[in-house]
Amino acid sequence: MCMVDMGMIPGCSIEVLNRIHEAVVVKISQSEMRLESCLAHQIHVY
Amino acid sequence: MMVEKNITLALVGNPNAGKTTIFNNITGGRQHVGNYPGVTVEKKEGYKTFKNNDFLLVDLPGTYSLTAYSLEEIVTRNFIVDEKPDVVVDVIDTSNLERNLYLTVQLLELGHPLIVALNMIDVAESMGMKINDNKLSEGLGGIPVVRTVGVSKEGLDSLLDTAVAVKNGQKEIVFKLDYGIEVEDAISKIEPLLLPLHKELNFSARWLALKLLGNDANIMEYARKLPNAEHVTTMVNNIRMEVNDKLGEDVELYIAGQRYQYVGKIYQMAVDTKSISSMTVSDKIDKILTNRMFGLPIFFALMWLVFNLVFTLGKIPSDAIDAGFTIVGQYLDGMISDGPLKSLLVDGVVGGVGSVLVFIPSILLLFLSIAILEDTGYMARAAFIMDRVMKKFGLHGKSFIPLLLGFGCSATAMMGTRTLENPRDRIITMLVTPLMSCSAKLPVYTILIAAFFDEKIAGNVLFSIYFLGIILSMIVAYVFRSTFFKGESEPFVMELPPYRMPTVKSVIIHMWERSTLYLKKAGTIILAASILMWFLTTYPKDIEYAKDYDALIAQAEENYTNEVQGEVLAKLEIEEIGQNKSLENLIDDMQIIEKNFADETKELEDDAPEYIKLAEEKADKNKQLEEQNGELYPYAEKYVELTQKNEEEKETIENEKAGEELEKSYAGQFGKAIEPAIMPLGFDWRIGISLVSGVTAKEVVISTMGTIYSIGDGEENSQGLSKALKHDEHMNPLVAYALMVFVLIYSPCLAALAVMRKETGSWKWPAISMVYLTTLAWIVTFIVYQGGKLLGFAS
Repeated sequence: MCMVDMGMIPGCSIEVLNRIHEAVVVKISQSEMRLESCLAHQIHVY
Repeated sequence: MMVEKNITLALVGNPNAGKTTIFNNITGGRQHVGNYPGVTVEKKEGYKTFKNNDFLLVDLPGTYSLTAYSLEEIVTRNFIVDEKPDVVVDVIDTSNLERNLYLTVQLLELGHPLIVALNMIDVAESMGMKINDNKLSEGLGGIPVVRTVGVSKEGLDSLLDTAVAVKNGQKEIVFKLDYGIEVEDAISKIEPLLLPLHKELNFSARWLALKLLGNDANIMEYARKLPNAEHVTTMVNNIRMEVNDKLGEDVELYIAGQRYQYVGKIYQMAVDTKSISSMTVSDKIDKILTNRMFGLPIFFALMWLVFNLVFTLGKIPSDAIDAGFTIVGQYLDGMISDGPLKSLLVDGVVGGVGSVLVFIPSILLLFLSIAILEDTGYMARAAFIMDRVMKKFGLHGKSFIPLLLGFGCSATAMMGTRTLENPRDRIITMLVTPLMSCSAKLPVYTILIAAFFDEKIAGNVLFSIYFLGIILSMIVAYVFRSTFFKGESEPFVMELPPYRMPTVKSVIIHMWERSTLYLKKAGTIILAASILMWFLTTYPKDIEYAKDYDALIAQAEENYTNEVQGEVLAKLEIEEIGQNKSLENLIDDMQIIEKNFADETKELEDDAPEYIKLAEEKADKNKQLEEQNGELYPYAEKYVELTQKNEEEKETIENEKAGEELEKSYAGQFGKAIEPAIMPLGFDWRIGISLVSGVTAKEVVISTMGTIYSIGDGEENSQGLSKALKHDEHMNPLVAYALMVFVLIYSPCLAALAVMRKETGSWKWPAISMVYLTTLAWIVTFIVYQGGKLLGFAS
């Protein structure tokens, strides 16, 4: 649920900014966040 | 004029929204930091008198939501409904408006008087955001919206004026988000069941219904205590499952989605987004600082800077404080007559308090560094960069910084674990931090290496100890993560806040409030422990000595007097030195030369080039005096030689007496009692007492060894201790290395244990730390010593 609290609800659009090893930095609206790999795999590209 | 007593303002908001900056700038130094009852969440309150109103401000923990996934969220929402602040101020990072409004909507649903502070409005405007305050207010149920720039105090007066107006206006907030027919229907079915809960918990029935529908763990816990708990929980579960089916998704997610949809509508209505730039300054900086190639080298360079700042710069004031306490001790030594009171004050109190205050410069610099790194936003990036390495050993990326600082001081490093949000990560980090060999252990290594290892390999021996500590910390962290801390959740998402310039005031307040906590808590324990160690090493007093030391000293004095009489006074036909002024002056000059030589060569080996040079200079000075005072010189030389010999003899007897007193003290008896347990490690009772005393502070190992080896205070005379150890038949390089390994690993010092107790809220973890580290020390030292013996290193 903490992902939801930070704006990552199903269907939201995100921008992938950077990647180091198994983590990615994404941007949702104006917020920058770091996601670990198990969550980053949930990003689907449309 | 009447002063309105205590308007209570609660500051809430997302982490990094600027609540604490606003709090610090409104309250200044009038603050109090504590804990919320029963939890380790920090509670900050401050005071402000403004236009005849007395404000009490409460800086609540940063939170993204009012769910029940963290203590901070529960503490925030409970504070609002239980303590009923007059006004809640939702501090918003305007540059992240949409995400921040998610919390605002939940605060509106609580129904409490609310103001929105659009903080960092300058940053938002620089990004090209244009906000229509009236439309924003309209979308948020008509609540006031105030623009602020916390760092420069802009808008803070207006904020306080608005708070007064809201309190005096006391208009009830009517805000109801329509969640759609399925959820609204479910709410209307659940509300009637909750009358007793609504009365007990102060939340509105609608709010409680929403929370139960969303399976809020905290509210469910309360519901289970209702008289008709089973009926209520069964009904709620059934309704929830029904709604999930109708919606085709989890109702909790659906509710969150509806809130975001509403927030999106307000955002579109109130914010002109046409001019917002796609790439911010933070994005540009991150392209370098979190770059795959440059990120790590830049990080290590910054860490090197922090490390040096804390421990190299901190050493100067630390040494000054240490010297200050030495002066105080010497003053008391001169002012108070010999006895238990003098011993308690000089050895117990001054020694104990001094050992606490010596840490203060490093503590201040540590928190200054952490405050700067956090306030700029770089700390989150550091965790991101180091996370992969730390993860391999079951640690969080943010663990890297406290572990690095552990090379300076475990106590300060443990305070640095506050940057870790997850309790499991904090505890594992605190448990392995003592394995990073702190600076207090360095004197032990230095003396033992100097005594038993060739200069050519001294550096390698020292490095091997530090390396062993690092390897052990990784293994232990991995074991803890795989066993006792298995399966606990960890945060998968971490916000990278935009880079900001920290303000001097905020950084200094941040630094100071943490340091004073250390003084109050750790200091009391160390002081008590130092007094206890003083007692245990000083008593009992009425022991049976193996020798009559007073008689020995008297005999030495008598021998000295006779020798001086026979070899100096009789030959010059005088009764005392004072009768020959020339002789007296010559003796004074020669004694000054001797004293200076002793001071300058205190820490030099006999064959060191500098020692030889100083010895030659001394010989030259004496030769000059001989040429100037041909007749009297041999007698003066004899007198000086006899006096020196007498002083050394008396000192040896005194130290031997002190050594026996220590052996027969309570601590000594304890050392003898534990000797069988430490003999397999190559240690005897003397090392046993030193190690036990080292639990108070690792430097105490050396001073205790100095006393035991009968040469006085070990640190000031470390040269003598090295030599004394070398001549001890029991000691050899293998025992010395085993001792270094044991000192590296065993129980943290009392300061570190005290900080650990404070940070974890109980004595459980310090006790576990003490036991597991001492056990690990025994096992590893046993392997080293017995293995070394088998390989023939004991000879």
